[in-house]
Amino acid sequence: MIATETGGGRVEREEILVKLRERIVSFAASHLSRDAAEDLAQEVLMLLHEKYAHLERPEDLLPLSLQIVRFKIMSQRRKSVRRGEYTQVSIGDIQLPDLNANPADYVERKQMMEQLTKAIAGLGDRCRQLLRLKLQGKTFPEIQKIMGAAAINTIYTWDHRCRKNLLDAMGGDWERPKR
Amino acid sequence: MNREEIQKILGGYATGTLTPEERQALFAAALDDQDLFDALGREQSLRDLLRDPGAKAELLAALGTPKGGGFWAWLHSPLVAGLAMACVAAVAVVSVWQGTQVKPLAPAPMIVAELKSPEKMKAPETKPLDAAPALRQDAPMRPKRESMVRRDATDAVTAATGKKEIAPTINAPAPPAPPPPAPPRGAALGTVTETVSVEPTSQAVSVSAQPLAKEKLTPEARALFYGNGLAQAKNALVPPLIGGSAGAQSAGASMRAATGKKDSAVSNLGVRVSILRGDVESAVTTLLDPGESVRLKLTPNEDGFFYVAAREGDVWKMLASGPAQRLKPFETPPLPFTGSGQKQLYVMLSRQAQTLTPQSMAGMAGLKRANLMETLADQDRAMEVAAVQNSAPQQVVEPITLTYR
Repeated sequence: MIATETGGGRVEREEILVKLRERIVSFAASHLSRDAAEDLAQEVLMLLHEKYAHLERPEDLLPLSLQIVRFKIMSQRRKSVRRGEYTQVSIGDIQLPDLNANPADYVERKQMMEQLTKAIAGLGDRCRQLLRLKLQGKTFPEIQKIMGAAAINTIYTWDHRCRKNLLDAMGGDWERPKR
Repeated sequence: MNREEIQKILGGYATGTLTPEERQALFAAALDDQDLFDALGREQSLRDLLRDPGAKAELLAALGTPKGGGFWAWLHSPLVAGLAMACVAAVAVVSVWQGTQVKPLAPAPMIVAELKSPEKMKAPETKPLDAAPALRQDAPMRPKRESMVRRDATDAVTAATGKKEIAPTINAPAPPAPPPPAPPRGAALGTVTETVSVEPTSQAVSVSAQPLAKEKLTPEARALFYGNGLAQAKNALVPPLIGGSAGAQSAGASMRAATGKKDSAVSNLGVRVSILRGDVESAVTTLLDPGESVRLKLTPNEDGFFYVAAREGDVWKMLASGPAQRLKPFETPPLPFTGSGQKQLYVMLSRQAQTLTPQSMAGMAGLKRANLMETLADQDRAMEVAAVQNSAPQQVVEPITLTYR
């Protein structure tokens, strides 16, 4: 269906979606079964085609698709846990992402916040300052000026190390380990 | 942007820190790189969390106050460190500079005398008398205290009239002698006539050493009189000279040769003369009442012998004679003068006992007058000092004139 579209922008968008599907299937396969991963990728693409057809650039499509993938994975995991179905997921039962807050999301966020707060307490001064500036909405070039770094790569390196330290303190994943 | 750099900007995805260019590069790379895409997928949970303003604010609160506002952050700033180093360097430079400075050599003022105002001198003595009536009732102490007050008052008057006491420190060969060990009260030394006019203020008189030396080239009788004080020990070594003056001089010369020092002031002979009107000591220049009975009070500065002769008309008479002890008063019997007018007396202090006539004393007075340096009178202190400057004087003769109304 997507491949039948014509036009320069459309061709480019279709190429992006093809690549995006491959990435989503591979990523979802690490969390779900292969079939479920393929079904999940298909659902994501359908959603992008139906509701976000105006988005053509990778920097717009990719974050959105990642967000949809995450919500679908979380939803399917909850359903599997609830039904005891760990290996098979009916496509008809897969729900569209609900961006509204729900009790489960609230609890997960709360737990994540607690872990994140503890992990932040163990960071060094530079990492804390860097994270603070990032949370304040500063871009990397702005952070470079504020922290007096000679090059932007210095900020990249600092942020990379700080992120690794924070992730290690969180147990290797931002979310609590999945069951 | 290479792959390594793109991996490093992955942390900016969750917080929305990436610029449009960085986002484009990151997502374009993620489409071709499964690992990068998976990493972005793992970041998505954090991204979703941080998109909540409440969660972001909570994390910011957990991060604490912004850096740079605290005292320690200010203290660790390079600017503060630089200022501290500059201050230390400035202090060091100033210290070294002050250490290398040589102060100009200027003659330091030397205090040679201090004049005190009458108020200052009276206050310590008169105030307790007025303030302590109980002490005033102490009969034995009262005459002595009043006498002390009177002496201090006379000192103040002396200072107020432009006189000052100058210690003979320059020309005297020996250091200034201390006061006598136990001088009788009321027999204090006379003051030296002022050679430099000094305002009677309470401030110390400071003159440089150079002009003082010029002023003090002439020895003073007081210096000559007290010059013997420090030579007591040496004098004590001299055996009593009973022979003639030639023998005494030879003994003195041998003593000087033995000590190897030049005698000057230490060998001066001096006599302090005053009259006693009853128990009151007065100056010899005091105008006496006709027929008044007075005595002479003589104080030597050396051990020796006193001879007192009087001449009334053409009649010479030896009034008194006897041994004299250093700084101990020698009092004559009442003088037998009657009538009015001037009466001539001769007082002779000799190191050795002599056999002489009153006329010979008058003759010696005429001869020794050339050696007499000064005859000093202080009416208030009722004394007169005669001293001679000689290398080794053996005697001093002082003519005294008493005036009766």
